[in-house]
Amino acid sequence: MPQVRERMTSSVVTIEPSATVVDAAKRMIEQEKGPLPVVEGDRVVAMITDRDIIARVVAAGRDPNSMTVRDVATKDLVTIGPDQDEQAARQLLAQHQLDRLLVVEEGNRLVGIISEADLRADEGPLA
Amino acid sequence: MAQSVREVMTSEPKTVDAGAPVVEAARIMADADVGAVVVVDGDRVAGIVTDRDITVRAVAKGRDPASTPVREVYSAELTTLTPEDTVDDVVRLMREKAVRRLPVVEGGRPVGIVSLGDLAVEREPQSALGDISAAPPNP
Repeated sequence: MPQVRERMTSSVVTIEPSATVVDAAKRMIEQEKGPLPVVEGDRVVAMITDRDIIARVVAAGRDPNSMTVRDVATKDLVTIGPDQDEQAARQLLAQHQLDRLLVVEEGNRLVGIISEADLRADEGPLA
Repeated sequence: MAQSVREVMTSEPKTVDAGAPVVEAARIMADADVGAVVVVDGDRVAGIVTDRDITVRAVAKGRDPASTPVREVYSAELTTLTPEDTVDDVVRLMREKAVRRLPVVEGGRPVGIVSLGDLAVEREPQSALGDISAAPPNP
């Protein structure tokens, strides 16, 4: 069975914890990305999503210019190792109802991201 | 018989007035844990506002959510569905309009939202709608 490493996307657009929420939103649209992994050095520490920005900044009546990614990002991460098999990735996605997982090596070093789309890429049309 | 919109739609959608500030739409989303709200202008269904619309058109531009009205950030949608439309109609309309969500209207009232994710067809990457799913939000 193929490993996560073979299916994942290795070039990941990330953001730093000290960036403002406005910067995070800009990066999401520049890259046409959804959720951004938040990294310190090469270690992933959180994830920031549209939902985080809406619920914790806009709905709360806070100013996106003065809030940092650190203040609002989600710190509960679901990760997988690059050497695990793709079935394990499918199970984690289903279990947590996610559409992507962060791929990390020891010490939470971010090496990629794997999405539902990556996992079904070689399924036939009737799969 | 073909599957109807009524069977797949999310019923009793939350609504927000086009003149309300973005902060109010965001509160509705946060309270109801939804990512899309129907926008009404007077008693007319005018479109849908999503969390992505707010991120892209308000937050990324550094606009103040308290003073920016929903009408400046939402996706205007003149195409609406009825509960009796078929899923095939929805697929065709979403492809034609390159949209991922449509409001469902009955007797002039908003009664639901259908999103691409509600349609099993989204699961097929080779399908006609696979590219819409991957596309950025509407301009």
